[in-house]
Amino acid sequence: MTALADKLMPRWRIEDAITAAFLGALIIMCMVTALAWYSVTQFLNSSRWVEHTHIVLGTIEHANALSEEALAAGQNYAITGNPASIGERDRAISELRSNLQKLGEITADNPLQQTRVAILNSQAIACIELMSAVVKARQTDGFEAAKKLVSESRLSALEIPFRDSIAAMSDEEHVLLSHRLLADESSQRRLVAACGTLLVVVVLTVGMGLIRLRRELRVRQSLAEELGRKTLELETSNKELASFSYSVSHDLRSPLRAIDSFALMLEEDYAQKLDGEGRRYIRVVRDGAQRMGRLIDDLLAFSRMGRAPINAVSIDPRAGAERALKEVLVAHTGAPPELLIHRLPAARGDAALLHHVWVNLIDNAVKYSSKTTGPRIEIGGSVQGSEVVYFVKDNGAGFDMRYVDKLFRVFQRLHGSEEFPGSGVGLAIVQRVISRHGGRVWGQSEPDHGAKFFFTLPRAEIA
Amino acid sequence: MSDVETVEILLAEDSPTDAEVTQRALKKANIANPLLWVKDGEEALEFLHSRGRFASRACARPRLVLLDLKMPKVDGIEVLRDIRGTPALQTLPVVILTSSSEESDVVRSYALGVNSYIVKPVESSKIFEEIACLGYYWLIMNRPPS
Repeated sequence: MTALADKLMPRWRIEDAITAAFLGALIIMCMVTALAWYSVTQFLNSSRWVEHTHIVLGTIEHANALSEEALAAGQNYAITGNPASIGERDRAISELRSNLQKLGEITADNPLQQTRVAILNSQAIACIELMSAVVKARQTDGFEAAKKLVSESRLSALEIPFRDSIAAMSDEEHVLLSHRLLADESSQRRLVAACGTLLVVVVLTVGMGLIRLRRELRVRQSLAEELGRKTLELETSNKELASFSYSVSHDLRSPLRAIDSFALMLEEDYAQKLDGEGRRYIRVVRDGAQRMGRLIDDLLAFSRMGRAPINAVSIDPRAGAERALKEVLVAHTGAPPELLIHRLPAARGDAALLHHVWVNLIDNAVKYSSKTTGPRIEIGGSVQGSEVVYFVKDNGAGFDMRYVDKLFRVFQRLHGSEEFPGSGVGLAIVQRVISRHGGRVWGQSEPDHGAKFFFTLPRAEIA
Repeated sequence: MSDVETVEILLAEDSPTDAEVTQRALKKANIANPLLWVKDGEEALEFLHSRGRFASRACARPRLVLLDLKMPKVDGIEVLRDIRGTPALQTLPVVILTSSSEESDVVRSYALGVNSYIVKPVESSKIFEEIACLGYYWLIMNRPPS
């Protein structure tokens, strides 16, 4: 029974386990998602750098082409004196200027390239100035003067370093490009790895959660089945108990009646043939049979108290206590006790079942105070929270509080039946009826100083 | 056993000791009406319907039937149901005399139209007293339909 209860209420409730598992999975998934996000930004970043390098390379090549165009246009004019070539040269120069400026801007991240762009600029300016001088000479002094200026100023000496600078920048960007392509590739790989990890983690978490849930559901289902089986067993054993007490009431009483009746018949018909001892034996037989009859009756009453349905209504406890008192005192042979009934608050309960409570408690009080001079019985009650506490108090023999646990058990008695007769079922009946009402029963006493028994019932609703 | 034609009390009781006690109690109370003791419900019905070993009996009704509840073959409840379902026996006074104080037995018996339900006490002096009362009441005080 306790094992079943343990299984039904595990220390770790399943709700907590599910919450913890889901929280854990959520945290892992958040972490992996953050990692994946980081990989994506890395990847985008490296892709941007690759693209940037391509743009820089394009700009460098464009600068090279523009400078060649400008030179070619200048030379063309020097040779032909065609004014169209001047326009072409000016356009190429202006484009080259803006191109170099753009190159300066887009390589701002790279100090080496920045210095190169500066050198390139000054080299370009030198070339452009020389070219302007050549053009001027051609315009004012004719072809020969221009030709002389070109050969004297060693145009090629200016042009070669410019080309070298362009080549150096281009080489640098190519190296950068290859590095950046590598970085791009590795961040691509990281991205794929991160996404793969994310997928695996999600699949694992969800899969494990599913397995755990399914297992838990299976366990719960088997527990529910077990509970159903136990309930059925309990119902069966209750039915068996009912039929057992039925058999007891029929089958045990019949032979007992035979013993008592035939002993009586023996006494009636053959008393004169027996001596005093013989007649005493007959009385012992009859006493025993009668006591056993009462035991069976009490036991059956006790078993009925456990099975009878409870019909709880608002009850008048004073009427119940007085009816029980009357019933008990009719059968009482000793001196009538002094009675004191206080005001009794109303409660909820089954009047027929509670009658047994009052009868047993009052009967005990009358019985155990019967040997006291000036027996006195007091009945009272008070409202305490949602319940009413009633008590029955006497000034009789009392009991030792050490044995208080035994009081409410079936067939447990604290006095011999020679001293005070009884079956030991009365307080067990009281306990059973009260606990079926959701109340509590307890006793307080001191030997020879009387006993006080309390019981609680749910308070009647105030209309 | 008295002559089956003059039987006034039919006692259906499976326990011989209980039957003997009942008969003694009636005799002690000076109720000398002829009594027939049958051991189970089947015999009781055979007597009441004049069949089986009572086939030769003329159909005179007894004045009182004392029925135990728990009997072999046919129990007291079934006998009671049969009696109340037979027009000729419908008004026959039937008293259940049993050990059972089960509320369900009491309710069932009354639902079937029993005239009295007596729980046999264990204590012999009380049994004698109660059976004497019962005999007086049903055989002397009470006036059944003729």
